[in-house]
Parts: sequence; structure tokens; C-alpha cells
Amino acid sequence: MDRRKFLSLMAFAGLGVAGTRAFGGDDDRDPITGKRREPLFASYTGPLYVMVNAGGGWDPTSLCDPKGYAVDPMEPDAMNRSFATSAIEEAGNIRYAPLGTMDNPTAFKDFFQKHYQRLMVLNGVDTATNGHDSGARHCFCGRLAEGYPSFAALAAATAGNDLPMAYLSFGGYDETMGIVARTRSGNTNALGRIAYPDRQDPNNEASTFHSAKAAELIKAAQDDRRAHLEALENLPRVRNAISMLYAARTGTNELKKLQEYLPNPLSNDGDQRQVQVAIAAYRAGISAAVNLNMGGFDTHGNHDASHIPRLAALLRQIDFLWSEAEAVGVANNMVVLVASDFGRTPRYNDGNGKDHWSITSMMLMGKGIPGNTVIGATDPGHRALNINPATLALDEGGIRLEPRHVHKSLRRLAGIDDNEWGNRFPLTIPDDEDIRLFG
Amino acid sequence: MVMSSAKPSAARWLSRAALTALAGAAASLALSACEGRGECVSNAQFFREQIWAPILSQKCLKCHNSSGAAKESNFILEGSGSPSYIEENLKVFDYLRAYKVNDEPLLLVKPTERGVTHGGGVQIEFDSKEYEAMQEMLARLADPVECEDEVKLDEYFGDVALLDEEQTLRKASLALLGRLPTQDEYEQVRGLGIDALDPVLDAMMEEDEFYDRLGEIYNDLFLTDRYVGGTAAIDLLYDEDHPMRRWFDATTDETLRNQQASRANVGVARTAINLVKHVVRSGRPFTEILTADYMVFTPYSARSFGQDIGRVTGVDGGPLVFEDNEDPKELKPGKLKMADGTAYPHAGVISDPIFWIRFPTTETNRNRHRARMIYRFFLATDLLRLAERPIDPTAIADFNPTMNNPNCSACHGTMDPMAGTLMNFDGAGRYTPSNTWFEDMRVPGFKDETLPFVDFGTGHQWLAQRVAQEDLFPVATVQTVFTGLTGQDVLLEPGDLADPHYVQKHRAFEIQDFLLKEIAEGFAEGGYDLRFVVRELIKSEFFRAANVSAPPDEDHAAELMTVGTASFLPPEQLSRKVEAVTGYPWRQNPTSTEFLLSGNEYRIFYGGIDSDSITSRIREPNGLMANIAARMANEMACWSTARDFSNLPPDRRLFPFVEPDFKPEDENGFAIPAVTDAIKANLQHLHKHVLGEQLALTDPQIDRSYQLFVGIWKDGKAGLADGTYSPNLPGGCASQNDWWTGNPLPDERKISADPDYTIRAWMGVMTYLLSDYRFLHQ
Repeated sequence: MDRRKFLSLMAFAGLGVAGTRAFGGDDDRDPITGKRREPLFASYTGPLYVMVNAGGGWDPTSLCDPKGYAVDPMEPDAMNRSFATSAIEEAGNIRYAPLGTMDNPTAFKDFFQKHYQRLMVLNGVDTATNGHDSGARHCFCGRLAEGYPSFAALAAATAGNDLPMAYLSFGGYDETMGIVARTRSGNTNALGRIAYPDRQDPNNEASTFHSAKAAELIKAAQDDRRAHLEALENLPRVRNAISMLYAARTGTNELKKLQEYLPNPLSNDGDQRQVQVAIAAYRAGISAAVNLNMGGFDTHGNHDASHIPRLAALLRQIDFLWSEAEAVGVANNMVVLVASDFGRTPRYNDGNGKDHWSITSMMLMGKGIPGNTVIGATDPGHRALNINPATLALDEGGIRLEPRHVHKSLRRLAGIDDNEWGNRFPLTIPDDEDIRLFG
Repeated sequence: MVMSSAKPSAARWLSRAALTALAGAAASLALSACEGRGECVSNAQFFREQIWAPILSQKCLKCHNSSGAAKESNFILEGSGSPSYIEENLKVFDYLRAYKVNDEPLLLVKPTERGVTHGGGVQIEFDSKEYEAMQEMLARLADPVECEDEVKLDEYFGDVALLDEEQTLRKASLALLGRLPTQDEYEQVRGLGIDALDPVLDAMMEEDEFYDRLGEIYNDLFLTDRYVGGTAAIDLLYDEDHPMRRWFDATTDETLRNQQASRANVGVARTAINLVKHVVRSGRPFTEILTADYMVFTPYSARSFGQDIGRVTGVDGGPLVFEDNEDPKELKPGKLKMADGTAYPHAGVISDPIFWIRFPTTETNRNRHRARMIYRFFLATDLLRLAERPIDPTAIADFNPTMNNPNCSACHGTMDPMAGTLMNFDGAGRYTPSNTWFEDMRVPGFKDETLPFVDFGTGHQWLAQRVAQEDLFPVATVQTVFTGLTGQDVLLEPGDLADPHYVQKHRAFEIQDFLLKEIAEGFAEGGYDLRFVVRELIKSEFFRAANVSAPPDEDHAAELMTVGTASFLPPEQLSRKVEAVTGYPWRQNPTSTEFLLSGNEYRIFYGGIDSDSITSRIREPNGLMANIAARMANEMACWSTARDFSNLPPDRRLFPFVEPDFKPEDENGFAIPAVTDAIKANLQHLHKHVLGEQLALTDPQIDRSYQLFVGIWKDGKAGLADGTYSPNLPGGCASQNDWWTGNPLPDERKISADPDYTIRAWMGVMTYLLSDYRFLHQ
């Protein structure tokens, strides 16, 4: 006996002896229930729900609810100093601000003329808040108070909360309330090693850490372990954490599909890269909803110089989204909501900036959304005008359009309104205030 | 698992809360009452659920607050950010109960505008449910209701099993230091009750690793690690203020120069974080993070701030002396001088230029963002939540609405005066003394106090003294540490009465709120030693809760939703745990970056932050994070198994009871009892070492692991026999060199072959354990 073995046995001396129990079974069957195992998950083929967040509070009067100056840009009541009201342009039924950038003076025109037939504009949306967090929450989940998941989280959970990247988020309001895992993107170069955790070299399929049989036995042991923990643990937080861990594992092998669909190389533009990863994940069948995020809209100072280029960048990103989707044939299965925290004041402050204003606009595009449509409006002071809930026409005796109305319609469109997740987080609206935006 | 039951002292918490509320509301506490389904509803509970939540917080608070449109009235309410706000508001309600108009209570006629005018118009319809609730509340105040709340509190934690002192110590040690407790530390607490942890925890809080963790916790707030890369922080300083900021440029050796630059930059970037560490380590009152009349330097940052030209001195005015001028982690307090030789007006973190660069301001923002951060970090108040009640934008047509419109003044009335006290810091974080402030803003001050003109030049110091004395300062501190230790945000008071579990969620909020405030009280009374907070939180039910005796029903589950940590370890903590358990960090070689800590590797994918654009952590695993954890389990099993076997058994962390040639069966397929016993003993050791599970050798979980080992071994044995498998380990899994030094191991300790397939079988077991829920969570 060599020294090492001797020391091992000495260390072991005096410990008790356990009996052994044979353990075996059919690896295709659940060792606990005896039921045949289900496939990891079915690839998702429903719509891709894209939430585009203009972080910080955009100015709809410089975009899709245009309001300019009357005669002189510096007149005290000028809503916008960058264009005259008389210069406002139209694309179909949609009016837009005639703005652009130094590089592209017709940026807004290009966007609206290209996309108006798939675009629904909602003006005069009352967020009822001037707070960033609450405003973003209200616009992307439909409820002002805390405690609700974003619409994208609901859509992702409905699509299948076991999809490996069901909800991909690049920022914005992405609360999940634990109903689905959220994935955040990082350096896409590391994705290879992440996609193939069982290989030493992700590019060499023979370089596995364990034999196929060993991997199978480890997986079976992990499944047994899950059953054991679930039978043992009763604290809701612990049970939820166990459930989330194993749900996250389900189908993780499918992440490698993402590798196949990612463009090589990815764009150098960070905003465009968000779009590329989102569409690749959707095409791989592993993602159903995504938050795209663009900041820089909280322009309390030098509004025109800062804000208008951000709006142009936002439109460029939305256009890129549609272009990429069309290029790979998924454009007819995409639903897009573009919104922000709130709007901006209908006047300039002393620093040529605009502060927070609770009236805003939202834009919707895609499958099931009637295009070339404008619903709601604001008065010259950018105050919301009421609409008739039934006809959607302006009506003094009507009601204000609020994010909850938009989300109620979106939920119906996505089949969420009356399913398990929608019922867990209901948007309660009286029948006579129910606004059906999409018919 | 061995667990103890919840300590009975939990019962006193709510009972004390309820009594406080009642005592504040009415003189008589003698009566009791039962209502509805036999459930007693106290005055405080009725007020909170029927009056505060649906009426006062939604309809009245907007104007009836200390800075709102009705601030001159007698009906001033406090928001939920204030401690004891229910008690205080109930006092106000009770006080106004006596006021009558035409023999009708003022509290009923005002909001209904019956016979009187109300500045806010009709807020409650006569004879509505809300009106009836107000009537009942008035009747209750005349005839107070007391309930035996103790019974309910016993119910709350009564069926919750807690970790015993040993298990708590293991969890605390990993959470604070990222290492396992030593045997000596276990011995100090074993069987001696939870308070026996105090001296052990105190000793642990002397270790450097605790201060690294503390720095992480506070960086999650301050986010100043945004500037630790390159010379980002130093580049943000101005030559006029800090002419020696790039002192290292004079170093001719490039390697040394780069090292000096990096160390100086980290020291500058972490000035605020280092102050936190210094204050705690030296046992000084934690209020000094705001009031310190000094700043904290490393040997490298001191030179950037001008030590070599006399701009940095010790706190006594003499030279600032370090024990080791080349130790980048050594921290010393000192003072800064300005270019004209006058003293820099220190005020803890709020005079640190990098801190203010991280939270910038503009000409129009006028330090409001900074004021918001002070409220959030140090006063447990998110000012933007004050704006989360519905507002009417059409009412905002005033000139200068932040001054004049109640919709705006809810936040600005609180925020703007504080913003004014920071008037001397410009957008670049530079101290530029000024004696003027904007006339179209509220005058600088804090709460009811106005900043005296003579203090205009040092308004931030004036503010720091006041904030540090606020009751909410210790509350904010406890909340920060709570989040750091548990991975949970503190509960916000639920406001949705339509929520079917509103009552249970409110109860959970109330219990947690009371616990944290009780610790905050002790923290303040004991002289603001942060280590007290850490100790008390670790000993609390929230940290120690391990299980419930039986599956709770839906209501009870809603109540217990935040009990227990069950926190998916963030990348920093998992990284430390991997090394603590396996003996090796998860990185390619000793000089490469850690996979879980590098932004170019997995840190962001694994839910971490970059302190720049990604500032909130993902705390629930997704598919990518699960794969990263799987890769870690595979890779560390591969790297650490043979390495551990290369050590002599006494030096092994993982396999002290077995050897690579310990096969469970002989060549004829008969079990070898002594070997199978050794294998099981080692599995028992691994379950304890890796997962913290104390299992009997006969436990089914040991058997499960044993079957895994044997299953892989048998398959491997067959594969070796028929040539399917190689007798050698996969390349990266062999142990040829000392990993830390790179020196070749003695031949007898080298392991590259696995002729019996046992090492690969143990690798399988290690992958299984390192991927387990209990390893990946705390």
C-alpha cells in the first residue's frame, strides 16, 4: 500500500458503513413518475414581440404628434423651435415633424413615408406620472403601480417560459415578477463557450468533458435531485428558486442554435447589434419577446440639439429592425411597440430644455395592428383630448386614452388577456371604458 | 438538515408595532373586538387597510404633505417613506377627530364639500364606501379596538425552521468572506446557540475579504467602479485642481508605470467606497461616511491627489504616512488642500469629486439628481416614487411649476432645497465655492431648516450633518446591507387593494419593515457600528429561514414569499465560492482574468453589472446563466479533480478518503466493502463540503451520488475494455504542474492517466454537485 492510499484509509478509519441500494431504470422515463420524458421544448414559432424603449421621456411633439412654432422660432409659446407648424408633413393619415439630422435632413420623412402603412400612432396617451420609473412601467406593462410584469414578460411566459431565451432584454422596463427568466446580452464572442458547456473546445464536438453515458447519468441524477428538493423544500422563495433554475436549464442545449443564426460579423453599432441578436434568437426558436433600449431622451437642457438626433437614431433602429426582419423572412410575424417614460413639457425651460410631461404618444406596428392609423389627439398645449371608447373618435364626453387601454388591446392581440398569466396580473377596465384599438 | 425553530421573540415585533400605533392614536387600550369571520381587526390595521391605502395615500397625500398645496392646513400626512408613518398619520387623524362643522366631523364634511369648501374639491362622495369607512374609523377612535396580535406573529414564523448555528456560520462565512469556516470557527459555535456567532463574526469582519464584499455592496449603490478601468477616474480630475494626478507618467519603466497608473486610478475611483471600508474597519460611527472631515487615500491615490506637493496631509495636518507605499489596498485617512492652500471642505462621500461625477448635474437639473441620490442612498427614500400617484397634467400650466404646482412640488418641494445645499459642486464634480443660488428655486435647506447664508460656501457639510442625524439614515444603511446579504430588495408597501393577497403581502411588508427598523434602532443607539447590522441581519429569521414544516396554503405562501434567501449567487460571490470549495479559481491560468468577473467573459451574461450602463443585477437564472453554471461545473470538475488527487490526503479539500485506484468492485464484479465505504464517506464529505449538507451515510442522497459514481465507473470500465475510451484523462483535466507556480509536480504526484476510470467518475460526481441548486444559491 502506498503512502497516499494508507493515509486515505487512515483518515477514513472509524467511519460508519452504509448499505448500498441498486438504482437504475429507463433513462427515457422520469425516475419519479415513470412517465416518458417530454422533449425539452417545442421551438417557438409565434409572433416576436419587440418593445422599443426610448428611455428618459421622448417628445412626441417633435415626432408623431407634431407641434411647431407659429411664426418665429423664439416666440414665447413655441412648442418647437426647429420647425414651423406650417411645415408639418404627412404620410397617409399620419402627421409627423419635418426633422432630420445633419447627416440625413429628411430622416423623419424617410421613416414615415416608408413605414406609415404598418404604423399606428396613439396620441394624447395619459401616463399620469412624471416619474421615470413609474412612467416606463406604466407604458410597458399597462399599470402605474408596481407589481406587474412587462407586456413582453407576459408574452414570453405565454410563449413558453422554458424557452432558453424567452425574454431577451437590453434594458427598459423588464420586470418579470418571476414568471419567466430574463436574459441580458453581453459580449457575444463568449456565446460559443456558453452554447456548448459540455465541450472543452466549443468548436470540437469530440472534446467533451464527460462521455455521453456519463453526461446522461449526471442528467438523471440532477433530475432525481430536483424531485428530492421539491419534495423537501416548502418555503415559497426556495421552491420558486428551484423551479427557476430547472426551468432555465430546460433546453439550454438549444442555445447553440443561436450561434447558427447570428450574423458574422455582428454590426459594430450597439443598437443594431441588439436587433441582430434578437432576431437570431427568435429565428432559433428560443426567444419570443425582446426589449430594445435606447437612452438619451431626458433632455432637460439643449433639447433640440440633443433630442432630435436621438429621435432620428430611434427611427433608424426601428427601420433596421424591419429591414433585418424582412431580410430573413420574419417581418410578417412581428409585433412592435415603441414608447417612452412620458412626454416633455410643451415649452422650453431656461436652459433650452424640456422637462417632464405626463402626456405622451405610443407607436405600434406589425401583425394585427391596423396601419396608417392615428388614434387620439392633443390640444395645442399638448393636453390630452378625450376619445369615444366605442368609435375611437375624439369626443369631449369620452375618456382619456391611457397605457392600460393600449395594453388591454395588446393582450387580446397576443392571446394573453384571458390566459393563466393575464389572469394573474389582470388589467381591470369597465366595459364602457374598454377601448379596442385593433378592432 | 438539522434546524432549529424560529425564536419566539418574533412575536414581540408586531405586537410592539400595534401597541405603538394604538398608543399614538388613542388613550384607552383596554378593549378588544372581533369582527367578520372571527378575525380581530385593530384600529391600526383598519386605518392602514381601509383609510390610508385607498383614501389618504391616493387622494389626500398629494396636497396634504409638508410641502404640498395644503401644507398650511392642520392635516399634514407623511408618506410611506417615513418610519412610523402609519402611527403618525393615525395620530393626526385622531387629533382632527375632535373638529366639527355644524356638529359633523370635519374629516367627513371637508372631502365631501358638504357645507364647507375644500381646496382640493370633492374627493369622497357622500355615502360612498369610502365615506362609510371614514365614519367607521372615527367611531373606532372613539372606542378603540385592540387585538391579540401576538398570536398572529407566532403564526408568521411559527412553522419556519431555521438554520442552526453551524449552518448559519457556513452561510455567513461564504456571504461575507467567500470562504468556508475553519474547524476552529465551527467549534466556537457548535451547540452554543445563535448568539455564539457574535465573536466569530466579529473576527471574520476583521478580514480583508469582508471589506472587499462591503465594497461590492456599496458599489451596487455608488457605481463608482464605472471608472476603475484604465485611467478613467484620473482623466476626470482637472489639472488645475490636481496637478499631480498623472504622477506616474514620470516613471520610465513602462510595466511599472502601467501598474502605478492602474493602482492610482482604482484608488481615485474608489475614494467613496474606501471611505466606507475605512469607517467600518476602524470602528468609527458609520455616520462618518457623510460627515468625515477627511477622505481616504491609498498610497497611489494620495500621490494623484497631490501628496508630493503638500496637497495631501494626515488628519492632524502632518505628513500622510503609509506603512507600505506599494500596497494598493492600504487605506489611510487624510486631508486635501486646495490650490490656494486652504483646506478642502470634506464631508464624507458627498465631497468626493468622483462620486459627484458619477451622479452629474446640468445647468437646468441644478443638483436635483444628486439630491435624489442622497435621499435614495442615505435616507431610504425614492423621491420619484412620490410622483407615482396619478397626476393631472392639465393642472400644470403655472409659471415655474416645480415651485408653484402641487403636482410637481410633491417631489420638488423635498428635492430642491437639498439640491441647493450642493450648490458648490459643478457638473464635473469640482468644488467651486459660490454664494449664490437660483432665485427661481426654493431656498437651499433641508426639511424645515434653511441653509444659513454664512454656510453657503459649505452647504454640503451643513447638509451632511443633518442627514446623518436623521432616523432614516440608519434605516437606509440596514436596507443596503440587507439587500447585499440576501440578494433581495426590501419590500415596498403594497398599495393595490384589489390584490387578492393584499393582506398577506402587507403583513410580510410590516414584519420585514419592523425587523429592519428595529435593527436600525439598535445600530443608532449603539453608536452606528455597521458590524452590528451585519451580525443582527445574519442572525435574523430572514437570513436563517430554511424551510417550513409543511407546504403552506396559498395565503400563507403569499405571506412567506420573502422569507429565506434562496438567492442565486451573483458572479462575484459564485466566483469566490468556487475557489473556496475546489481550492482553485475559475480561470484559465493564475494570471488570466476570472471568467465570472470579467466583463469580456461571463460577468454580464451571468447577471452582473458594469456600473455603467448595466446597473441592476439579474437575480433569477435564465438559459444563458444556466449554461454558464453548467460550464463552470464541467470545467471546475475537470480542472480540480485530478489536481486534488495530486495532493496528499491531509491537504486535499475534495477527496481525503479515497485514491484513484479505489474501485468499488473487484475484477469479478464483487463489491469491495472497505472501498465502497471509503467512497461513501468521501461522498458524505463532498455533500457537506460542497453543498453544506450534513447527511448520514445511509441517506438516500449519498446513495444517489454513489450510484452516479458507480454508473460512470462501470460504463468507463467497459469502455476501457473494448477500447471505446482512452486510458488517459482529457487533456485539460490532467494534473502535471503546480497550478499556482507552473512548476512541474514530482512524478509520483503527476496524474494524466486514468486507467481505472475512477477520476472521470469522480469528475462526474463533482459536476453533479457543482451544478446543484444548493451550490449555485445561498
